[in-house]
Amino acid sequence: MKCQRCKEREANVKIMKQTSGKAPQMLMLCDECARELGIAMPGNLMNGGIFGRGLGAGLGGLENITSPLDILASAFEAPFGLGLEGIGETAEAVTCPTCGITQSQFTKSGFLGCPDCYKVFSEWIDPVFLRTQMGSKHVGRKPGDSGSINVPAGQEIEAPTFKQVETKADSLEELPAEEKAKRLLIMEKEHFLQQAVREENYTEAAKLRDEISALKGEEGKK
Amino acid sequence: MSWYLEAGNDSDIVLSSRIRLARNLKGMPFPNRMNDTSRHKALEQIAEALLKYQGNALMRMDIAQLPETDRRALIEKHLISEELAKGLEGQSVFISKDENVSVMVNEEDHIRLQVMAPGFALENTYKQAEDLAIYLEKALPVAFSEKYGFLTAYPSNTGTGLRASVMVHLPVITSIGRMTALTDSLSKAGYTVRGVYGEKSQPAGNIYQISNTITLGISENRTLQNFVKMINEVISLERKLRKDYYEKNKDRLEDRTYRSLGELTYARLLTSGEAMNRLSDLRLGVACGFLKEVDERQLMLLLNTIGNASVQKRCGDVLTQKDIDFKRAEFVREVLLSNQK
Repeated sequence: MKCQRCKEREANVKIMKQTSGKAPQMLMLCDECARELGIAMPGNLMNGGIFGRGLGAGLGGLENITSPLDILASAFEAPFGLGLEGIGETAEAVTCPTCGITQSQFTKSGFLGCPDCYKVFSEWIDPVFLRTQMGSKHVGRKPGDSGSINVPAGQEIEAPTFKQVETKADSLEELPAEEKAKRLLIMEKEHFLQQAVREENYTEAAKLRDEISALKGEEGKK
Repeated sequence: MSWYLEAGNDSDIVLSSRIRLARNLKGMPFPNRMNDTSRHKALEQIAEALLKYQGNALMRMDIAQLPETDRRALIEKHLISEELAKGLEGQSVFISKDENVSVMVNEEDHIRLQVMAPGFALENTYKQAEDLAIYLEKALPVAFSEKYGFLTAYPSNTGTGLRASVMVHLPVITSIGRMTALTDSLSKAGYTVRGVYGEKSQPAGNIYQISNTITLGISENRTLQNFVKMINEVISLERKLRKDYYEKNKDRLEDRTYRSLGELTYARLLTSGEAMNRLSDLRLGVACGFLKEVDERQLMLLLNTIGNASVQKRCGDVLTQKDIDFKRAEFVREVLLSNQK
């Protein structure tokens, strides 16, 4: 089968997206296109690319993903992926009119070219922020503001601290590392689920809910 | 006097605190899309503002003009990054006299300012960094959006553009094999941990840098409050383990510490990793209260002055690796024996 993106080379990367209650979606790509989209290459995902450093670090980033299956699955949530529709046709279409950087240049390096890029690429950036930051809206100082800032009540979400992570899990210390990592993963996802619900991002919330029940289900089987 | 030789809070665990703020100029591409001319132009604009700053007198150094050894030495002192050490046209650093304040220009962002302080002192350090940031935000057109905050070249820094970090000495957490678990825990809570010395695969000296990763959707105040709370947890964990460890293994710990002291005072060739690991033993001995032959100040001095480039710079000549190891051993000896009569 030919690659669905370049429609030239032979496809040998298959990506499946399974959403509960929906028919599975499938995408076939050649190595080259997969690499260009930052999909099939774990090395690329880990070291460069939009998730490479800070964006993937910590909360919900790709750094925690190890199996190739997870990497493929997560490609759907990657800013490049954006589901199946549009891949290929739009990959090069979006370009920042100020600095000339293209969407694929951005997703490959993770670097934006100028301040205006934020507006141009917000469609790609915002979903990543929702997973890796505490939302996609600045609540800190403004230029020239001094000292303490009053943030309206309820606008900020308390980040879990090390202690909270530890004590919430209640003698997590005694657990084997693997088990502990999983408990933490569940807690983290629950935190993001709450956040997604608060932000009325129901697609993300449904996804997280499925992931949490999958993780908990695994536990029950043991 | 260098900032790191002053006494700091919780210095049995926290060696130093650092605040870094990223800012960019409006109406200009980020450094990754600039050429020599535009970088130069941005530099002159920023330099003019920085040199008028009343808070700290800052000295300008254009990286391209510096010999390789000087660049390496600046990296070892955490004053510049590898990225800035490339020394492209328009890449400069502005450093205060006691080296606690440094501003990198045309690194990943147009402006990366940092303030360092000994021990655990994030709030005061932040205040100092913020003062400089406020000054620059008034003096220069800074790229800011209501939605995304202070805009940065790499999106993960946008928002507050604030990176708080501490350098911590965690010999016992490391030695009982819990560092990976701790790193994991911290990463889940939005913090990163990396070894400061040695190779990536084999960190030396049990010294780690812990930093926040979240910059968007959280205020500066809250970032710092959460960070301080979290570091306090790490501090009490290491302290508790040290106590447990020392109580259970007094003879063994003292033996290891004094062997390390012996090695450092008599060795003639010391690699950087070796020196860092032995110094870690001494630091633990001082913190546990039994090692009286050495003090924290000597250890801080050594930590900041025995890197390859720092040794090379002190000697002036171009040295081979073996020569560096020899000179390093000589210097370590000199410092450790300086208060023993």
